This record gives sequence, C-alpha cells and structure tokens, in this order.
Amino acid sequence: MARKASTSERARRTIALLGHLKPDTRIPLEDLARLVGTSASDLAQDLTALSMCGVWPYDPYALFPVVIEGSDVVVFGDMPALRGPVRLSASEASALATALQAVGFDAADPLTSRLLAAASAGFDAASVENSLRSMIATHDRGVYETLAKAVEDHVVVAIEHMRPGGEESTTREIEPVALFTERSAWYVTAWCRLSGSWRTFRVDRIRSSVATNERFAARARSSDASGAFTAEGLPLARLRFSPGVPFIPREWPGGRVVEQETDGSLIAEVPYAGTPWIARRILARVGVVEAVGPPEVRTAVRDLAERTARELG
Amino acid sequence: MIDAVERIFNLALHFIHASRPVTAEEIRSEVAGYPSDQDDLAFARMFERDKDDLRLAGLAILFDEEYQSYSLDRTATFAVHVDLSDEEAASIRVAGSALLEDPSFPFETDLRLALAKMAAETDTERWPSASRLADENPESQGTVVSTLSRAAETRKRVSFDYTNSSGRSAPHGIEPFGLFLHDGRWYLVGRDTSLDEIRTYTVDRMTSIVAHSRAPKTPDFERPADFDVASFVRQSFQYGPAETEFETEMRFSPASAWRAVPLAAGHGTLRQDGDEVVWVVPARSRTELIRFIVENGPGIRLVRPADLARDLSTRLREVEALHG
Repeated sequence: MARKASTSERARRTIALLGHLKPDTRIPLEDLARLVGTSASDLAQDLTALSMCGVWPYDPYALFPVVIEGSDVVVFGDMPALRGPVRLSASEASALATALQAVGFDAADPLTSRLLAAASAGFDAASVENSLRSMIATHDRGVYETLAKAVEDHVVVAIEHMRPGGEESTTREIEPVALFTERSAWYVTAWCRLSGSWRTFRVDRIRSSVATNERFAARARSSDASGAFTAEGLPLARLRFSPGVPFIPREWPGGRVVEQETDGSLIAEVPYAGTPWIARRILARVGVVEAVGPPEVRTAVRDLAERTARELG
Repeated sequence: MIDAVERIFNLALHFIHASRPVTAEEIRSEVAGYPSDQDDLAFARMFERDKDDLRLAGLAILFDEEYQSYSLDRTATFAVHVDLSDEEAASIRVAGSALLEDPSFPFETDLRLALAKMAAETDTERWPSASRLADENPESQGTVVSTLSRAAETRKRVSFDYTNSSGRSAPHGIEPFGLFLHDGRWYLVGRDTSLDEIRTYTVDRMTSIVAHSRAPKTPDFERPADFDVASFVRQSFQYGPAETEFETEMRFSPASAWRAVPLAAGHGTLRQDGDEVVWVVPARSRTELIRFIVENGPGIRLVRPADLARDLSTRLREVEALHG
C-alpha cells in the first residue's frame, strides 16, 4: 500500500503545480498528478482543499478558482495574489544540480548556471558541487543533447560510433528511444538501421551525432530494447581465477562461482553479450583470470593479448 | 476543522497578498486554520512548522527582528523566465525522466517537484529507462545517501556500523562533509570523530545509520572552508597509500585522441604531441593502472614507468600463450 503523504509533502506538490493552473484552462487531472508523482484521487483531494483557500475576507472572489470536473481540473478565473510559478527551494535546486551533474552539466556549465540562477534565487551550484559529486558522464554534451532531442521528437540520428574494443568507427543511422545510465556511463537505446536490430550504445563512444530531418515511426517494444542489461539468454564464459584471486560479482555482472579446484582456483560462469567485451575484461587482469571456454572467448583473449602487446611495442 | 494543508495554503496566500510586513498575531487572527482556542506555545510551534513547510516549497519568507514581522521576498519567491534551447530543454527532461526512475538517485521527490515547477513534462509516454547510478542495492544506497546528504548539509553528526573490505565490522561516529559517486557506488567523506581523521566510506557497507537529531537547527560541527569532495574522486589507479605514488605517462593514438579529455576527467595534464595526446598523471596502483589501460583500449599506450610498460608487455605475451 502506498505511504500516505504528509501535510508538508501535500503542500509542496500543490505549490509546485501552481504555475500550471492558468486562468480559463481545463487540464487532465492525470497529467498534473503524474508531474508530481501522486495519484489523481490524492491530487483531487489537495486541489479541492486549495479551492477552499484564499485571502481574507475569504469571499468567493478571494478564493482559488479551481474545481474538479470529472477527470479534469478546471481553472475558471485568476489566482488570488499569485504572480506565477514559485521558484525552486534550496533542496529542489540542489536535486536539479545533482541531476544535471550526473548527465555532464557541472556547476560551471552555462546551462546549469543559467537555469539555476533563474530557478532559485541565491542558489550556488558550485557550493553544492563541493559537497556532492554525482559527475559520471564522460560523453560530449553536444552528443547527449542531440540524442535527447531526437528521443523526444522521434528523429533519426546519424552517429559516428567507435565499437567496443576497437579504434575503428562506423557511421550508422539510429532511431533513439531512451537514454539511461548504468554504473558509470550513459547509454542510448535505439533501433540500429545498420544492423537491423535493437542496440544499446555507450554515449561516450559516440564521437559525433547529427540529427537528420527524418522522423521515425514508433516500433513495437521489445525485451531487446528494455534498456536494462540482462544476463538472460546470453552465452556463458567459463573463467578460472588463480588461487588467492577473489571473484568479485559486481565486476562480472550476472556471473557466479560454480566450483573450486583443489589448488584453490575458482571456476566462475559469466554471461557475455559479445567476445570483445569479455576478452578485454579478462585481459585486463593480465594472467590471473583465464578463459577456460568456450573456444571463441579463448581465441578472442589470445588475439587481443597479441594485438595489445604489439601496440605496446 | 480546517485541513492542515488548507491552513498552509492560506498562510502562503496571506504572505503573498500582504502589502506590508505582518506579525504572528495578525496571522493568527486573519489566516483561516489556526484554532482560536489554541494556547500561545501551540500556535508558535504550528506557525514555525508551517513556515518551514513553505520555505521547503520555495517561498522566501523574511523575518524582521526589530519589528518582529514577516514578509515575502517576491523576487526570490516567483520564478523568472529562462531561455533554453530545444536541445537543452530536452536534455533536462530526458535525463530527469531517467533519474526519477533510478532508485539510487537520492533526491527523487525534490527532483520531481523541481521539474514540475519548471513545467518540464517528464513522464509522458516514454520508453522505460532502467537507470541505475549505483549498481549494488540501489534502493538502499539512494535512501542512505539522502539521509547522509541532509546530515552533511545541516552539519549534523551521523553514526553507523561499517564493515570494511576485510570483513571487520565496527561502529563509527562521523562528521559528514560530502558524498560522491564513483564507478557505481556512493561514498561518504567525513571526519571520523574517534580517529580524528578525514576518511572515505563506502555507503553500501554501512548499516544502522543514525543522523543525530538533537537540536536540528544547530550544527554539530563546521566543515573545513576549503573542503571540496571532488579532491577525493580519483581514477581507479590513484587509490592507495601515498608512499606508493609514482608518475605515469600514457599516449593516446591519433584515432583515440578525442577520448583523452573525457577519460582523463580532469586528472593530471594533457598535451598534444603531433597527432597524439600525452597524458601525465600520478598513480598509486600498478595493477589498477594496467587494468585501466587494457579496459579502455585500444589506443592507449603506457610509456612511463618504463619497467611497468615492459612488464605489461611480457605479461600480455604470457596471456597470449596461456590461451594459445
């Protein structure tokens, strides 16, 4: 059962909506409720309370001109005293600054400073950043902005993408449907026209992105395009961890130890979506983790080791 | 009896409508919702709570000590228009949507209300984003970081039981200075009061977290004026005892030179050398440095320390032989 909102929470969410209650408008209750993360029935109760509020002497002209009609909120006059939307409180501005940081716009970014200066009086994003650091993005902000706009407008984007484990880049057209973050990076989920399949691209491996003029039609959702990394249905690599080398589950998502050998080595099974990814992770442990199988993973590790050693000279 | 929410709205409107500063007594008699039979202390408490709620909602309520009166700073209260490009607005909405669904983002309610005020429609029909800033126990990390962040902001001490990487558990009392996110984990930086040292703690290893609640409006400590949590955020190969520190030089190939700035993330120095980019940066862990180079390759070549570069080359040949 959903937790009952406190008086403070109810007041805050209603005040957050004041800017949306423009005179002579009819707004679906569901839309407003979704904005503040509550149910339509709870919001109806709060707006009904609001309709009984006003300023002294509390005559009909001094009360909030809001009424719930069916599934709509109807605003039938001017708000008493209000001058428009209320600015962000310090905690709201701080949350927004933290979110912007996580997506790559730090306190020094012009967007952050412009937005927060307008949204919250006297708010200092740099001061928040001194005590709270959520910066994880290593992508180009222009690439992210183009993708975000394309997600909203359903526009095809041409990207130059550097494939994992390689220096070569490919140019492809994608139909982006979502941006999400996982651990330390942002990813875009898209229908890839080059491969003819749903793909997930790491945004920091996209060197450039250009929105085309072409809009794409919505495709049926697929579990391949869930955005979440899942081990379901993936092949398993069998890895040997040398004696004394621990198996750390978060370094091998979805993996598990299946046996221990007499010399203390651990055998683990780890799901993998592509050999370049798993080969690079194994090689990064330079010798303390061995790919026991399948052969395609052993071959990938061997080839990658040879190539990397050659590059080092 | 009037609903408490009605009373708070009425108080907000009274502040907004008032053409001059108003006293608590005027508010008590003119704002609908304050019980007429309430004693002075009960009214004072209720009025204090209501003002706190309105400040939390974004109203800038001023108090004049001399005249013991209240007024609203209208300029600080009402939003002004900000011009955003379509791409900037889309970035905020799309990122906002993703983080609102992320249980490890610690400020879900505040972010949602901020976006609602900015008329940023974040929850229109969207593809599920499944975002997770933190990968281990994201719900728990989100909740704990919210508590710790509040404690850091209000300068209140916290205590918790902490299990270190060796599996040993012990109680800790901390003055929380700041928090940072790194490689899928939230970390707390603060002064350990029993050790009198500034230390970093992994949030996911804390249990029984208690933020001291006595005198909530009075700070328990002061944070060092020059504190910047960013100085605690390092590359994976930069963690370790200070005495193990050495300087390393890496070169990005021409094809990978564009990745130098984001991968360096502000650590060390970068310079262009022909078509290559040279990165000189301090390191403390040889093992983690090798892991970084291989995991982020190809296109990154270790130049210094020369013995480590030779060692890496030898070990790569051994891996090749092992898998041959």
